[in-house]
Amino acid sequence: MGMVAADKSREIASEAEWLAAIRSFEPLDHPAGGEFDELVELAAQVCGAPIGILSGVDDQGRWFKASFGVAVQDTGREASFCSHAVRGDGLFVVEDTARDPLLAGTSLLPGGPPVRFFASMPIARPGELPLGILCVMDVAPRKLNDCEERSLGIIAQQVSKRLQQRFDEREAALLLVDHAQFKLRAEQGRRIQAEVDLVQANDMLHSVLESTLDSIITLDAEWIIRYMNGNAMQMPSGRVVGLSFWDAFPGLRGSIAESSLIHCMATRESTEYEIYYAPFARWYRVFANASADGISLFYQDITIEKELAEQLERERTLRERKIAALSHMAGGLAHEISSPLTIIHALVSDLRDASSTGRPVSNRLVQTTCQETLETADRASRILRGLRAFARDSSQEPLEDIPLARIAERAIELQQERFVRSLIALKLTDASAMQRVPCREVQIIQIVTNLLSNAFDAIDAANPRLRSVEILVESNGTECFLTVRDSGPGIPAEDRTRLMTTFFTTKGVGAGMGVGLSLSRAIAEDHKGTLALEDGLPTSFRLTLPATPHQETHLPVTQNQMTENHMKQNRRNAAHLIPVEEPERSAAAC
Amino acid sequence: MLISEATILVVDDEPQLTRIFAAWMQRCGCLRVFTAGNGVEALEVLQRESVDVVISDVRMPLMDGITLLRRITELEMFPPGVIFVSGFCEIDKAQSYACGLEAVLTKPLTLADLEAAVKKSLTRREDLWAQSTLPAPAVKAVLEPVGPRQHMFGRGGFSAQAKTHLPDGRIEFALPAAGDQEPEVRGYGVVRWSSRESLRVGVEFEYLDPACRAAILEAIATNPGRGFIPIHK
Repeated sequence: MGMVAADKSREIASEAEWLAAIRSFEPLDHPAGGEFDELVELAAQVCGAPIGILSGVDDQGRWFKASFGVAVQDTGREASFCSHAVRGDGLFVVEDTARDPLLAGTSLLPGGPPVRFFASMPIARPGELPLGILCVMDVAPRKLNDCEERSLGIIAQQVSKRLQQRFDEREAALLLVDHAQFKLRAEQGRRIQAEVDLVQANDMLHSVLESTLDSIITLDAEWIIRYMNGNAMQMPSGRVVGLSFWDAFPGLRGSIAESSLIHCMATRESTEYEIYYAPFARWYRVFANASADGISLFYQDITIEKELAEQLERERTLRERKIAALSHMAGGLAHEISSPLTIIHALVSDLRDASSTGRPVSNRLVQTTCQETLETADRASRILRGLRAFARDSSQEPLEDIPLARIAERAIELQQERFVRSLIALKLTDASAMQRVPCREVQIIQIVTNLLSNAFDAIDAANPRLRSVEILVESNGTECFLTVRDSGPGIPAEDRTRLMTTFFTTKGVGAGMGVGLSLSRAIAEDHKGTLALEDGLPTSFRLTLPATPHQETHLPVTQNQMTENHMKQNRRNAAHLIPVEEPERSAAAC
Repeated sequence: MLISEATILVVDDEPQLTRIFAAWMQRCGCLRVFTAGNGVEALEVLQRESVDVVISDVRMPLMDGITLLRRITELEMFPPGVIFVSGFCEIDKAQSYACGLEAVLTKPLTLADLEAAVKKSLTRREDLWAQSTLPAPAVKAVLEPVGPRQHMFGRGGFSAQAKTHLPDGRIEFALPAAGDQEPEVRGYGVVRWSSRESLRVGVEFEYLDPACRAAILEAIATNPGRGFIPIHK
């Protein structure tokens, strides 16, 4: 029994190889019949046996591929002798099964006739394990003669060859299939790679679209929004994919966007434009490119860029205005200074001429000349002091609490010469009890100087009978007001609205740059105040500034002393025709 | 006219200056000197008195010097010479000289400056332009007439077309002859104004070649209201 068990295990081991070989030998799977039936019949006839079988065996049982004289399909393998037969490499003959110790008691063909004689030849590819057997059977014991044995061998060889041939054909076919499959796989590989690439490209495109600072919107040919990147969806309109572009952004109708985009859509030409989109209060620079089925829009938010540019422009304009105002002021002051300089020059040259004649120069002449020279030099100094107020940029200085009336006095000081000589009365009234305002003094002086200068020009140009300018300073505790009224003819209604705009001027070229009022208003607003032209006559400009809350000192209401002086001087200056024959009167005029 | 026969009007809104200028004129020996504080007062004097030379400031209240000059030209058939004394004021020189302005003096100025200007204004043209002692100017210019020759010359000079821009200063000029009626005009002059755009120049005569002097004097005499340096419109 131990032997049998060992044999059995070897048998199974080799059987596994065998089955693998059979499986690789696909032609045996072909349906029974055809060319192999004839060879099986020939084997049976040659051997004079009633039954011929060509069979292979697998682990499920024996099966016949072709048969003659028997219709049996399957037998249990354990009961089969084929497995024995197949493991030999030559003819296997059992002359009488009844007398064979291995086969006694087994049924070779269950359900078929009882088999007494069995002869088989293995079917094998050269040098390989047998695949099956070609066998002949008889119901009576017998022998095979040499001729029969040899014939059986030849037929088995023919079967093997035929199988080999079919195997080769199959190999060739398989190669073709393999090749086709290889090509298919390669093609599939390429497609997969392409898909991978596409996915990667999409990812990259997506990340580019998402990481860019631009907002991107794509439209189809019907103006429907097909895509928005994250930035675009951050716009106040939100996600509007699927909507009509013009419905999603209604503010664009009639704008440069409409004409540009319609042109881009129609001509496929890229376009670029800048637009302020009021609903978002943003500036955009837009690049529109034709895409396959519509257009792609790239929005750059240039609001900050624009704001910076505008701020720079505002600063530049303000700077230019300041320079223009300064140069205007400088021209005026230079003219003011040229007169005292001429007087000093003349006085001193007269004294020199007198002393160079050789005659004694009277003490009185020296004294009057020196006195006049000094007074005139003082006058020039006062003008220069005024100039100093404009000579520096005070816009960055801290605010100081200064009485508005005092500032008005200083502004008057700057202009008094012009007013006096032009016979224009200048009156300052302080009804604010020296109310202080937080301010940069120099800047407020500039405003008041500008207002006085305008008043002067208005009177000088129109030459009205009454020649007066009045400054009134008032306060209601929270605000302080400075009003400049002139007796000029007033400002025409059509000029009133344009008055505060930069470079608007009614004066002739050279008389003014039209920069004063807009600059003055800018300064007033910088002080959280206002500068306005009041309605009606007389022409009144009112400067309003916040008052300093707590007033520490209370000064009495004063009528500016200087005003009185001006009036006196005005009376003195009222020009006379002074024939030189009256030198005393002429001398008194100075 | 001698300065001792002359009546002068000094106009300035600075009383000290009118006094000083008046005193200077008196020292120069003028017959009479009047003063005025502005243009309006000056016109009042001119209505009353026969004035030979007006010395006027430009920037003045009520009526400035330029308006005064224009009014004088409008009112007087034989207007007095007008001399501007200006501190710091842009004036349209071409228009002012065309109106009859004879000189622009810049403040501060000396008695000698003022005296020279007044004396020149009082000097007869035929004497003034015969001063052959003047040094020859360094710049020479051939000028082209603008408009008809008979309207070219004023009491003090002429305006013409230059070939290049001529800065203010002395020049030796030549106006080519045009037929027998219009001889060549040669002489020394001073460029009083010039335009960089049109290359027009206003030239005041200093000295005229004897060959052309008589013809020019005659042209001026027949049409005295033409201004000092006329502009052809």
